[in-house]
Amino acid sequence: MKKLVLSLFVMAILVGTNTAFSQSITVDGTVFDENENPLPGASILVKNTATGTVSDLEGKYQINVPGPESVLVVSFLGYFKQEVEVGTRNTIDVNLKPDMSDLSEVVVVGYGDQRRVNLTGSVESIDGAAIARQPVFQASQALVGLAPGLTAIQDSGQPGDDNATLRIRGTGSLGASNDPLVLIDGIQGSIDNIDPADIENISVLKDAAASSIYGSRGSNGVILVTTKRGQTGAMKVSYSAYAGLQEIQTVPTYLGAIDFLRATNTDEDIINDYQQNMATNPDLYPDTDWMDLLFSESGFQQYHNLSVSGGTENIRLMGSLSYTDQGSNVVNYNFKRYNGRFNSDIKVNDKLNLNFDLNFRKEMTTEPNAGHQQVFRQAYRIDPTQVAIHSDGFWGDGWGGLNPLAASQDGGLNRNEDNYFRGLMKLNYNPVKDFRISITYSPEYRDLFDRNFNKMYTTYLDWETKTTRNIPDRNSLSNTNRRIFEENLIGLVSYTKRLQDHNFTVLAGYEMIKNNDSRIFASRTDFIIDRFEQLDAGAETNMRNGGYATHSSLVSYFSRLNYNYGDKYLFEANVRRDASSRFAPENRVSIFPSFSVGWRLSEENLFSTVDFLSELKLRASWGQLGNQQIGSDFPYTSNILLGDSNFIFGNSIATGASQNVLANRNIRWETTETTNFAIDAGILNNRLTMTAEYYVRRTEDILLALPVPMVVGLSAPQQNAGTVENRGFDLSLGWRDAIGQFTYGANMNFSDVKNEVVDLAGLGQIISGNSITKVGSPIGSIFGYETYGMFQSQEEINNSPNQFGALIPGNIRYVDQLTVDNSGDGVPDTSDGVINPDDRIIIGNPFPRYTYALNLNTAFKGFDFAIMFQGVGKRDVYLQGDAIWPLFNAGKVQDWHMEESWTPQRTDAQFPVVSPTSSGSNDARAGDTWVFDASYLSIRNITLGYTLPESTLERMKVSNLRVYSSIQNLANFNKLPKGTNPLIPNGSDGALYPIVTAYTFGVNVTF
Amino acid sequence: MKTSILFILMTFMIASCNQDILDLESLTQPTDATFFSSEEELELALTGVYNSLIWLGGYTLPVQVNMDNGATDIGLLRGGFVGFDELGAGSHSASTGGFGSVYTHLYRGIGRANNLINNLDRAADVVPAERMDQIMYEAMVLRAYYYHYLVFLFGDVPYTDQLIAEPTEALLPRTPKEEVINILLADLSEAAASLPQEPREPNRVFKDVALTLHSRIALYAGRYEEAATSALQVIEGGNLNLHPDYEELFTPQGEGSSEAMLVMPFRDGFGPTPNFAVAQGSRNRGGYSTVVPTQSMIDSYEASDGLAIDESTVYDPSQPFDNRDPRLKASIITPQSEWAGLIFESHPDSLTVRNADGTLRGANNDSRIVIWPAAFCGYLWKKYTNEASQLQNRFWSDTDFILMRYAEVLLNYAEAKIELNEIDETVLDALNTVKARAYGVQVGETDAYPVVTNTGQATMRTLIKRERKVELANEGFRLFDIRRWNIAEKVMPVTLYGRILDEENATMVPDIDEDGFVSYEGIESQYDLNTDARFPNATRVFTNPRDYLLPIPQAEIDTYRANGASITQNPGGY
Repeated sequence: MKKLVLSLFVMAILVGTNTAFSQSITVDGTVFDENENPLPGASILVKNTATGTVSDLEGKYQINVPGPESVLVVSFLGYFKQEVEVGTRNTIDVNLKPDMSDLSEVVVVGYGDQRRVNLTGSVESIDGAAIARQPVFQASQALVGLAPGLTAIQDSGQPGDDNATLRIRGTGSLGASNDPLVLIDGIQGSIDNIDPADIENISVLKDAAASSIYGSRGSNGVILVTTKRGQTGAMKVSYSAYAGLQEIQTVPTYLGAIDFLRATNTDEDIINDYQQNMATNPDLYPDTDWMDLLFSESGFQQYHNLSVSGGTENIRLMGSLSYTDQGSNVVNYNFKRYNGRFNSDIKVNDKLNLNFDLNFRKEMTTEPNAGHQQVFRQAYRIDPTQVAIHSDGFWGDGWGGLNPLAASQDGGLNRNEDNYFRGLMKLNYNPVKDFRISITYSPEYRDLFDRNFNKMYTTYLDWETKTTRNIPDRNSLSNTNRRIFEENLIGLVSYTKRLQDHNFTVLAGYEMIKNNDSRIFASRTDFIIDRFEQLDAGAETNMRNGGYATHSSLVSYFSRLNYNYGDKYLFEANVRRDASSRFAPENRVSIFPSFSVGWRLSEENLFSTVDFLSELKLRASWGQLGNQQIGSDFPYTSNILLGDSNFIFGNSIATGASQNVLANRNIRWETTETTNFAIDAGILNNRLTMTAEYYVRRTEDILLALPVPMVVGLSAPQQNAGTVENRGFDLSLGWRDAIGQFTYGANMNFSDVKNEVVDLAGLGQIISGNSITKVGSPIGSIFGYETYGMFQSQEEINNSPNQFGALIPGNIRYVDQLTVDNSGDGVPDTSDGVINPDDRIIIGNPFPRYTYALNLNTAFKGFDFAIMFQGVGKRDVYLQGDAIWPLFNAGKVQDWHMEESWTPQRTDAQFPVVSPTSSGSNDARAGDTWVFDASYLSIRNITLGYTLPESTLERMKVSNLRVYSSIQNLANFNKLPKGTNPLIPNGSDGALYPIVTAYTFGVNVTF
Repeated sequence: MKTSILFILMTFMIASCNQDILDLESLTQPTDATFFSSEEELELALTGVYNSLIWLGGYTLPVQVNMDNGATDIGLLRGGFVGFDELGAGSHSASTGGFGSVYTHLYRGIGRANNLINNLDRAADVVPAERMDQIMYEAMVLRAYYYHYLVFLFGDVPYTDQLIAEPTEALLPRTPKEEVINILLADLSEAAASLPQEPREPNRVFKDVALTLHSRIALYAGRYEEAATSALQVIEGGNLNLHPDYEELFTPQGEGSSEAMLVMPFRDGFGPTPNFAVAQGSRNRGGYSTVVPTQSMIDSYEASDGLAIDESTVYDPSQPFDNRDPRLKASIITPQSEWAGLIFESHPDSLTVRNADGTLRGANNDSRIVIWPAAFCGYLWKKYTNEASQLQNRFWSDTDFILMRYAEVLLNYAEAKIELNEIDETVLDALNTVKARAYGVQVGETDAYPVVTNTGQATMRTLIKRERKVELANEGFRLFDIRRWNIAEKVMPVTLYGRILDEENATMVPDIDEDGFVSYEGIESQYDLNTDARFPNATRVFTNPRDYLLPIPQAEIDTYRANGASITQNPGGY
């Protein structure tokens, strides 16, 4: 479609400039593509003249040239340009070879599209195929490693909750959101709100020049998702499906019962007794492998999609319906999605065309009500001498009633439904040539319904007397219904003009967004018959309900000017004026400008002789963006909260009213200023492409809850105070070529971003648990104790500063930092002889640095193969609690602890002595012993496909059939202790659903 | 057709272009611009002031319980309890987070009261003056209640009766404690003069609440004349009675008793409920026994002859729970007593537990040998450990927690008069009324309980200290009492012993001094010594005189500093 539009465009230009020559030769011929099919719309120019024509619908052309010395330049978008000397021939057929680089492509940008060669901003384009190849159900997850500068962190494998957190060029904000703005066909949405198979293309707008047209919503970068549309031609019916199994990629292994008893210094007699009885009496002498019992399921997953696509010149349609069912390796975790999409393109007449799009989705996520703390963390904790399931099938008591198996299988479910419906109507009107008006109206409705049932399960408190107990004491059901309605209206006017070598495009637009959000909540307890999970079945004694509603709106005007001179010198300017209801009237409006320039050096005569260089461009941009995702819709008024401060008088509950948060009338948006420098190059006929970018992204007026004196009696409001800077580079290299029928390509990207807090309005630092945000350091650095290794003797302990509690050799030895200033120069110069929280320093940075990926793909005679490596070069992760500490809180011991921990014989061990700890023990603290190098290299995806040859297909009466097999997250190479995945979230204590490996087999068939 | 479509879309656009779409107001919350303008709104705001009476700490227990068990000699805690556990262990600092939350909670209540009192006038035209007064005085008494905790915990504190809207106006210096107390006493007197004799609904502040708070503050401040006067006004007012059954008063059956004057209300279906059955309850019934009484608390209950156990002739260490003040067994679950259908036994040797009918039940999780976190000293609090809740719904104990009750008035009066050395019949009567009720009898039935007679000021001082310790145990008074009597430095930094191990052969009795301090010196071997390091709060430290006050939270000092102001820290080095 795009090719057609462009060729028509080129044709129009050429027709206008065509002139006849008197003494000339007439040449004709046909332009073919790589498959010997005629290529209509190809441009044929006589070199160094203004003479030219385009090929007709059969690929045929006819042109007059001055003489035999004339050279024809034949070009077509997406193909390499070819030059042919006329010589004595009158008929010249030309075979164009496809240009597989992406420099020739058209890229979706804010409120429009643009040829990549003419881009001046920083835009990454991701083809839908790269997403569809991966057997994942959350599109964000498929973005891992696909674009430099886009960090996608997937740290959970839970069905329905395995989406990745997206960050474009670092983290800029503390108090507001860091999530990029995602637009689906121009309307704000969530990247995970879409069936990955519906995605045609994704553009990632990284710098201010590219995204400033989104003003106050664009400071965290913008992701534009375009969905598939019908193409002109016969109706095609396609069915695609895949199915497969998931497997937990890695989990810790633990000592068995006997080894565990030894590790806890149990008396040998008891151990012997235990050993003898284990086989015959597992109810009293269990050897429970909690992990094995928990991850008991196959994790079967399947996906089916039926779509119809095609159309006439006047009406084109695309309809698809899909079903997703993602099982899990743990009982009761599940994700299901029903998705339907209907996109239509209707041409009313030559000047007017319309789009009507509909999308609905129903997602159902199921998980045990017990949550990760009770399911996974307890499985990481409870030792093998506790019973999970008794021989008569009843639950064991686990640890004090906490039994992760019972909790996940019998403790009730959370069922979350997400129902979504969106309509979009877009009108395009071209009253005169190059002048376009478009109006888009899109209402969107979302209905979320959560049903959380906390069910009781029964355990044997005592096996011999068969005494049982119920966990928890009381069952309960809570329902929450949230409804969101959002309206979006966009009006655009654009005009394109070419005056000889001067090309102008001007765009102006209006956008209005209105959002209404309301929710109701109700709960009851004491469901006597617990198979009826409806509110009516519960007791009325502890009925509760609640409700809440809010709304917001945004009104914007924006404009863009593109200018280029001879496709050589490029210039773009954007400006957007936003007004948001979230700010006081006097602070409501803000203006966000940007400018960018580009210079295509390869178009200069100087470079015309440099044959190997097909493209070379320099770009620079500057711009400002805002962030209005500030967490509250009315931060500027003193709100009196109703119903949050109630009391009981007599027998009735009285509603109370109180102001809880101090208002900040002056609150404004955060502003991000980005400067970007880049170079694009295409070498060897664009077989090798390269882009390198360097940027500085500075966010000012960051929202911080600067503390107010407690005497105020109100919580601190958010204030515009801090400054954060992200500096980094993005680098990508691509290689594409074909040797006969063997085509191959490689794409490599590498990027880094360095984050630094520049100013915190005099606060100096914000400590939150084991993380700190401090001027001069990255946001959320790991905060804890530096260590000297372990105490080797009692004498060393006696001679050292006081640490935490009674110590034994093998305990961690902390560094007593210089915290006392004796010289009075404001710089601490002396240690205080005691290890206390003042001795904590920054011991790591959990934000990934040096992220890289390598995609390799090849195709040969129907076979296609792709492999993707992805990794992180530098990242620190602090682990704690049941995730890493042996015998913590009466927990168990991982196998590697026995080999790598301190003993009197192994004094150079990396980890302290294995001894019981609990919260506050010397070794159970945020020290650098527990900060790990979480860099990794993973094989993210391997896909092997085979497309049946046409001869076979014809017999089967299908037009295309491809079968493939794919492995997602095959392997991960890292330096973490055995059983720990480097994608584990920083600060984890084991309450996590681990990453899974997925093995799938799929088929695509088109009739 | 095309024009019609265009027309429709243009209409959409114009309809939405309206600038009004940006002028939105909150859909659920009024703003202070219009609030406080009707009687309903004043009542809503007043309820908000009452709401701060609900003050919860670890295990959502009332903070008063955290104070008594974390930082006094009568109890012990394991786990985080708004800083009072650290205070008892001496590991606290100005940065101890709990102190910040204490400070914040109290000022939050004060801010709500100030907001209401300052803006009351807005409704003057529509609300009768009498109702306006009542609302104002209820709020004023509550404000004084919140301030009294601040003053007696932190000493000098910033005092304001104005709502602060600008953070910069909040950089107030500390007001001397005496000045704050003067204001509070004056406010309470004024309120008492205007408030009705009876609460307009149960749980509301009324005249006697104002007077009792007045007597409490005056007593804590050593202003005995004023303390006695206001307490006597309550007694003579004759509105209040002691609940006939001491043990029952702290159970669901005791709710609504006329003895309780001010409560922290709990109810199934309303707000959070305290986890008394979990925190104080038996581990055999799913409790965690993290909040427990100490041996010295047990030994502080008199023998039934009215004498301390070291002077009594009826006390026998081999049967330590017999012949004792009935409040011992009313407040504490002692070994071999029946609790929640089981025979409670904490002896390390008792590896199994029996049902109340004597049959074997299974492993005894109340023995610290079976499971280390079992009751540290071998006892459990019965006061507020709702037995029904212990058996079912451990997290939903809904017994109201009493913040102020008539017995306090009688003891305040007696102590003030003893200190004034005006020991007359009214004093003895007040004391004996409390004691008689402990035995479940009337004050006149002098044969049925050990009657107190005037034995001179010094002995009476000892008696009143003992009486307050046992009568008000686990209700949040002990921390303030050991501070104002200046005995914290003596009673706090001691080793905590557990129950007598070999009861059959026990012969030795600890010494108890005139302040009620129980000394185990020389007889330590008779008692269980639990040295498990996982009870950091068991090692008590008291830095004298520093720990007579809490430090001003470091965060507050930092905030002042960041804004170019300063606030002084309490002395002693932080």
